[in-house]
Amino acid sequence: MMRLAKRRNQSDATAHPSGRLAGQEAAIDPQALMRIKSLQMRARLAMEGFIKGIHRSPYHGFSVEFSEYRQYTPGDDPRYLDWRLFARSDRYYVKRFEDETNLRCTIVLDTSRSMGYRSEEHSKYEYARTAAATLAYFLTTQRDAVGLATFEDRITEYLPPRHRPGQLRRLTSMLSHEPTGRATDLAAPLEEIAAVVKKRGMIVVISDLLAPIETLKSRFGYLRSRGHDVLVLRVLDPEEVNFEFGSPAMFLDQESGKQIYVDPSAARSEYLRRFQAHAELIAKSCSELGVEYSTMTTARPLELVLFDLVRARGRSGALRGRRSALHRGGRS
Amino acid sequence: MSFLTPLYLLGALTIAGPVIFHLIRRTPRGEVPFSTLMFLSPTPPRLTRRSRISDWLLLLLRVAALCLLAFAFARPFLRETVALDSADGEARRVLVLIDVSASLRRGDLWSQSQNLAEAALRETRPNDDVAVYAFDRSVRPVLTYAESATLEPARRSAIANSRVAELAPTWAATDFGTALVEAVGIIEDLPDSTAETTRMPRRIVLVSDLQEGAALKSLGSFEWPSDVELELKTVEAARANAGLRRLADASEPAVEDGRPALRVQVTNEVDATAERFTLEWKDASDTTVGKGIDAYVPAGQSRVFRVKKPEGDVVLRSLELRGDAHPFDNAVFIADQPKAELSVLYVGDDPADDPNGPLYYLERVFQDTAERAVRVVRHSPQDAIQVGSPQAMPLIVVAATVPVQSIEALREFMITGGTVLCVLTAPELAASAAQLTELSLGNVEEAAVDRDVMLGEIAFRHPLFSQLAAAQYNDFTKIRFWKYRRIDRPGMDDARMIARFENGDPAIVERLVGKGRAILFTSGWSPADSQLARSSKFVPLMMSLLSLSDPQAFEASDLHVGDAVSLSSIMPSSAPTEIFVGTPSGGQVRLPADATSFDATAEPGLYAARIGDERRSFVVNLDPAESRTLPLPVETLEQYGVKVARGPAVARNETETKRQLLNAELEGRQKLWRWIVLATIGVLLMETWLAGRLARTRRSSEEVLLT
Repeated sequence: MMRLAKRRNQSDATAHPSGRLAGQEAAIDPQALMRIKSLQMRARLAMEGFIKGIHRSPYHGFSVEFSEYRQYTPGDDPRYLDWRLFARSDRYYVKRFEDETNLRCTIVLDTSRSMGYRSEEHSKYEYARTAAATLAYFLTTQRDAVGLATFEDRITEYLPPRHRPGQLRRLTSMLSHEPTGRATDLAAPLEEIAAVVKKRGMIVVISDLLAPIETLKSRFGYLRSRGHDVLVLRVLDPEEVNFEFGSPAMFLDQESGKQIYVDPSAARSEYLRRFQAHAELIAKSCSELGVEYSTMTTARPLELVLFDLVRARGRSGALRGRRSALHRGGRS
Repeated sequence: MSFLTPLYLLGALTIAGPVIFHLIRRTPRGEVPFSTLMFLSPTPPRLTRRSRISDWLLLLLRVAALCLLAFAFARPFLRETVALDSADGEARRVLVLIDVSASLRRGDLWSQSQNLAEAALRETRPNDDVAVYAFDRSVRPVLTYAESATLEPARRSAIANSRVAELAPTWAATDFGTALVEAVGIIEDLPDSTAETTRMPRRIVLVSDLQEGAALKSLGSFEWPSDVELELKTVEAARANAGLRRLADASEPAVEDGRPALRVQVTNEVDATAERFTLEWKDASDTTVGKGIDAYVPAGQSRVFRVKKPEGDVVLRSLELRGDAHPFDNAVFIADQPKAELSVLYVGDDPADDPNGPLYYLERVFQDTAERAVRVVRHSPQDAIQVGSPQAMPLIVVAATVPVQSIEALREFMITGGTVLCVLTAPELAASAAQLTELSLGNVEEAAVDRDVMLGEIAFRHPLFSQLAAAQYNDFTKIRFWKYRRIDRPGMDDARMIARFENGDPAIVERLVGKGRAILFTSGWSPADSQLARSSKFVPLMMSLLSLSDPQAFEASDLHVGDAVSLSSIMPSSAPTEIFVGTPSGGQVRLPADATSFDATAEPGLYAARIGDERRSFVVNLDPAESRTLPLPVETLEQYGVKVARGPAVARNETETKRQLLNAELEGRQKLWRWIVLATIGVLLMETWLAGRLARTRRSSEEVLLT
């Protein structure tokens, strides 16, 4: 069944060399998706929708990365000795493939209250956690290690990246918590992540980024400098993008509880201008640091998230490939 | 429709509030939660562009509620013709107290005062008890309660007005204290005519210039009754007053350049414009005598002047102050008597030029003064003595034996107040002396003196020696007596021993006879007997003798208008006769023979009293306090506890107050505000219901929109 779908989708994808979905009608309506109670089920559905639309197998180049041999030194686990190489070269080499070749992905999910905003049936958080679950599901099926960190103004929960049975269940149960946080602060959680996640990997930040971004650039730069691939998925509500409120009202800040009187007809242009400036600043910072940045509204089909991931992975993979080649060249 | 408190209608202006609130588009109903406000800034509320009022009915209800509330607070009532005649007003007891003191002689104060009194009478209601009293130093009835009760209101008012018109200011001082206390007594003593009702309100209307110099002492110990109100109707003079008063003679003699002078004080009021005055002497015919002296007294100050009497033998009547706007207190009257010609009769036979005889020294002891000239007349003891009145001949010195008929004349002289000095120059004189003094002198003989003798015991309290009682004068040790006549002491019971010699023998003895006295010297003053004539004590001693029979009957500066003058000092000791007193205005008052005092001193000036053929004069001046005409602060009266009815304007607006009371009464009866408040509550209920309904429909429509 799976394979069938894959094949069919492959053929569909051929007709669309842009790598995008074959058509919006083929995508799963997020509202319909969100009605599914089980997060794991949702993720699976979304992933299958994704697999239908991609051109090439995601297995290729993901899990089978070249690993290097390292000369055995006393103290190394003898289980990892490559006996065949020993047989050929009479030298002890340790094969280091498990850790290095599998992707270690940490999903960093914003659970602040602003994520709870909804103008449609599902909130930004609902959307974001489904996206996170879909990613996790996808990666798990690829035998990649996936972890999760949720944050408000600091890391609230952290599940280290693993690939083992039950990881996905734990992850989805963590995701099923409702958002409780107040403020959004990106700087401190990213700093904590950088401190916790020692091994290089991929960090997917899912947030609405509705916070001051003065320190954002330096924190992303910090993560990048530790060798992580960073993907920022910005989740927004369509109302936040368009600001199409009708009558004047008291607007209540969900995070601070502050109220102000706003007449949207008067305030809209100013709102859009400032919102745009904020978004542009984020995009600029990300592009300067080589951070993959993608904005989506909660009306967007979810499986497209995976495209962003794959695209980001592809780019950074190519980058990394060049970098590792250099590295090897340097060593040899 | 009228309103009791129409200003509350302004409260209806608050309807502007709901109108504006309805114009403001305050559509935000509830809150719109939003993820962040970081891109939003508050929008100020604004009026709808089209000035369209939303919810007309709600607005009308709210405006109606506010208007009704303002209407209710304005206490509306329907004007009806209610029989609230002014005659039905509360009956009061009113006492109009009119000040007629001398200070009201200033300018047009008296006519103002009369007008105010008439106004006060007009303000009384027909059913009031009304009395009118006038006061200066004392209170006099003009129209008593008893009299006014018998009169009809219209007639009462006419009579009161005519009597007030007849009043005229007197010359007396003002005594507010006594007047107010008496007025309260009069108003309180009368029992209320309507016993069943509560006490009638009592009101004293004081028409006065309320001058500073008025006496308030009586109020000090008086407790003002709580139900008596004092209403002040004050008059005020346009120009300030300056006053002249005589000061009591200081201890130093009031003599300047040998001429007597008068010490006077000129006071000028604070707000006076005149500062230069002239002091002039006037004689009996009111013509100016001599040249006036300039008196410069700045406003608010007082100066003391010593004004010399002019040269010449003119009889002065008064000193007057010229340059003041108000002449009522500008004269000080003096009793300027012509120089008194006194004679001292010496009965003896020694020649006038014999330095060893008493007469030689007697003639030289009396010096003429400004007031009197003393002439010593020598009379032979053998001739019959013709005595005059003690006023013309205060002293008779007997230094020789006199016949019996002369003794009788001398005794008569003493009874009318004369003084007879009997000098025992020789023991032979003892018989006459004994007859004169009616004392049994016993065996009089020349005393045996060892070299000399001094006076040992002197009654310094006696008028004869009282001038010499001071420590620096009372040394009599330098006066030695070589000879004296010793008299027996047993017969001295009726006499007074004025001085004794150091051995206890009498030296000077006094025996009162009638109004006069006989004084017996047991030694002479001539050098043959003693050193007395050549001592410094001789002159004062003789002057004292002279004045023993001429006591100062009147002290001119002490008498003020209204004071009673005691007649005892001018009454002859003989059979009482009628006394006639001529007043300054030319009238004559006849006093009965048994009168002890004269109290008709109604005006300042010179009064001439005639007792038999004797004439005495005295002056009465204006009370200096009456010159202090500055207005008295009302607070001063309040400090004494007087309950002053505040604000004469309030009293003047009494009809207005009455109208207000009538309105209040009507409003109180109708109580329309209750119905209006009920209507307001109804409107508010409707408003609540409508607002709730509107909110409900709006919410449901919103919900429909959302879904």
